[in-house]
Amino acid sequence: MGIIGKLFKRQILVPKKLPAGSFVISRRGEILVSTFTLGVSQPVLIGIGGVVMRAFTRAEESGVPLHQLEVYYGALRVTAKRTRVGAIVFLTPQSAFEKKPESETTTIPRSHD
Amino acid sequence: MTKKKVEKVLEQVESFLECWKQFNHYLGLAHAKKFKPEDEAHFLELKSLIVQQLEFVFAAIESGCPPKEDVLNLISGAPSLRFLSELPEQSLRALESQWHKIYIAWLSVLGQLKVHYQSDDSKSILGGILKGKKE
Repeated sequence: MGIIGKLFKRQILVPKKLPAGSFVISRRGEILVSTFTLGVSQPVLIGIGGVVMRAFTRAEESGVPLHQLEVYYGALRVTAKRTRVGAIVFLTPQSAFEKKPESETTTIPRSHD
Repeated sequence: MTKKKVEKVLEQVESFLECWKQFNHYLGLAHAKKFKPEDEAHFLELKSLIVQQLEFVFAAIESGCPPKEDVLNLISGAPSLRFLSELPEQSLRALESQWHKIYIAWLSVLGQLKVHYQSDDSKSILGGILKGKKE
């Protein structure tokens, strides 16, 4: 293949596999321990953990007793359990056909900031 | 050991203890036979977190109490929530008792760490905890 052929070679984009595992995040937003492979980007986990911690902190500030948070996306379920030092976060990829439990579900309004 | 390092170890031990408490929560679910498939998955994840954290903590403080084998034996004796829910009442009680014994031992370690952290002599933290191991 010539240079022109290489330049115009079509790049095949494969959808990234969603991360499955868990981690413990501290109040300061540091990941203390994680079961994810090294291939999973640390900033992504810190980002998810940060949002979770903010939700818990805001609930605490508002006087809402929130100990567990479950967020269902199309293909990913995020479950977070509040602890004294931070939170334990579980990320579970799920198929679109999996039935979501209707009860005990807390949804967070999407932030636009 | 610097004060900052002690702080980090304290955080690790506290985090380990929180996961350890969660382990007991799942024991309760198994006992009550009220668990969902996602609880089973979370239980497995939790055990992974506990084992990894255990290594972090032992690497930092090298405490001999509670023995690492006791923790690992308890975890390996609980392969799944389904398995636990099918255990006879007596075995489940023995498991809970063992869990509690380890919990108390870890609280003691946490207390020792806090004492050393609060005192100015934070450098002796390793010595203090290792002393128990050598004796």
